[in-house]
Amino acid sequence: MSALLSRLQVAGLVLILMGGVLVGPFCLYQRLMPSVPDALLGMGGDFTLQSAKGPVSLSDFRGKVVLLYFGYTHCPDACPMALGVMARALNMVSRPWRERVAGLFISVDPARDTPKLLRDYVRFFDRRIVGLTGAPQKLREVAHRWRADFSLPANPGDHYAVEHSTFIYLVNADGQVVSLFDERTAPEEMAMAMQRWLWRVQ
Amino acid sequence: MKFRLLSILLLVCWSLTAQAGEVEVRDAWVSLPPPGAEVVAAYMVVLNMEAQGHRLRRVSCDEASEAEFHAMRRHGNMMQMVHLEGVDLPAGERVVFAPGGMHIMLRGLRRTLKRGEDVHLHLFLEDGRRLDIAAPVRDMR
Repeated sequence: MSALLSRLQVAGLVLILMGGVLVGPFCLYQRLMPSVPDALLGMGGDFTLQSAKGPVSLSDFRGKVVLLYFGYTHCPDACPMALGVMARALNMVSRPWRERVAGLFISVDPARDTPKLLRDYVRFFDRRIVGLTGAPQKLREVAHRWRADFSLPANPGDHYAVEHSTFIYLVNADGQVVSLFDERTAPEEMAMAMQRWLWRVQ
Repeated sequence: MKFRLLSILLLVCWSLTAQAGEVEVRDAWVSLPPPGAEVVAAYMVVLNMEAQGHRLRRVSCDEASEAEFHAMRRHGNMMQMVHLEGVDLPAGERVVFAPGGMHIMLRGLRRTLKRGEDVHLHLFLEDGRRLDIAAPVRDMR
């Protein structure tokens, strides 16, 4: 039987098989490797704000995949929900990558949220989450570039609520916003997205 | 014979109304506050199994100086917390207080809350009734 196959046919078969071996993983790679949606290009960017340990910049997290959220601690519902989901997602990342992920909680209520209070508040959720805040003007600039909205009352009394957008930003290891989630996103979905960007770092 | 049938019917009706006629709170819980948090949310499900509607007028809490009904509303792409003066309980319906929806906001905690312990809430209905609830503290991390 084998005698019926000419050398040319064998060569053809080998070529087809080799093609499959090369193209298959390439297609898989294309499917698994995430890309940045056009709508998010230009959103975000580096900033420096205050933590309990001094100034912290987004660029300090180069090489890590970061979840970022704007909120405030006098927020009984949305913010603890968001931080809870972020903490669960950070813990779902596979073990070798656990120190390659982090969270940032930016308080837009610096009048009440001191860096020290923020540190204690965010550590409750996960030690990899860092609490940041800054001067009102600085916060407005950062929020504007991140296309986040917040609104403090014009005449705040003793107790006031802050309106704010509830995006959870996924920032890749190059400091680029690559996905938007919120407090209702399943932590599994967030963890999977982080994992895909982590694979790409290697 | 007629009298007996009538009395049985009356008895059945009476037992039915006695079994309905309840406003019940289920699955109440308080989310464990992070250190430094000055406000915390309580959640619950209120069942109005009566034939008429009711209204929650006020809430108080033994462990906090202030308690209010709040709702979360979307305002553009921002979430806004709205203080509710009261909450309607339509006849035969359940009203859910859950994360992302309505909650009871507790402010001015009198002591540090611990996981598993009960927080005591009191709901005041418009008709003057008071419902006392024990809501366990749950760690939502």
